[in-house]
Amino acid sequence: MEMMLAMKPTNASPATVVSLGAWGDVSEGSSGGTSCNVREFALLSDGREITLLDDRGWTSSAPLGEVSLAHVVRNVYNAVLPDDAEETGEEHEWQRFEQRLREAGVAVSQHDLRAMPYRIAFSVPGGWQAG
Amino acid sequence: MATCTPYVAGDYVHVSSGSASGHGWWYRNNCPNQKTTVTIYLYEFYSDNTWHYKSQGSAYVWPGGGSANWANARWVCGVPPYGTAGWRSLISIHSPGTGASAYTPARNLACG
Repeated sequence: MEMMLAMKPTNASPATVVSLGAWGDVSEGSSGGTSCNVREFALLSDGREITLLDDRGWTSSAPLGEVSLAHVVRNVYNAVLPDDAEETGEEHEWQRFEQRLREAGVAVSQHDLRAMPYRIAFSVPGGWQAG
Repeated sequence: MATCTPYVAGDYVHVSSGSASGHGWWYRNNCPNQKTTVTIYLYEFYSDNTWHYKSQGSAYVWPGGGSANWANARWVCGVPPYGTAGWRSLISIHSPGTGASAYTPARNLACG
């Protein structure tokens, strides 16, 4: 007896997360300091970039011309810390990351996300740098 | 002895666990490596076109920030559905040296 198998379209190779990162857009603040909008993202194996968190940023009283690279990078890390980091010791919003990625069709565990490389890149007026 | 100039920094006010929340920290720049008191004040923008003080938080911390070295201020959001309003924070230290302060940019948040 010949059997017919039901067929349906499927991904040849589902996308996976290859790295995490934060993009910072550094600019001169309104009162002579420095500000930076920050967006965290996941880079996928198919080249897509999924935004994970985009409501953060930081301001410093340090003038743009005096702010150091170390200062900028540290501020980005501080700005993306979870609000309950004092209690949990977590450095990122892993639960939110997992949920955003699931909504984008990417299944990945918080455990696996913690093991991903994390890079910070930012733009500054007149050029860009990666840290 | 010349007066030193520290810096303050803070994250943009954001909504977290049903509250508007902001954090402040400081950098020593050319000041001694010591603890100081960082205070952060939260403000909400009202229809009378002025910023209204909502809450504050202080912490006696080392420079550099991070969860062990920041001050946090929170304001519990009202009952849903939330209206949208502008929020900002002021971060301030009185010492060492000249002290420092900075306002974060206004952010429109759903935290009625």
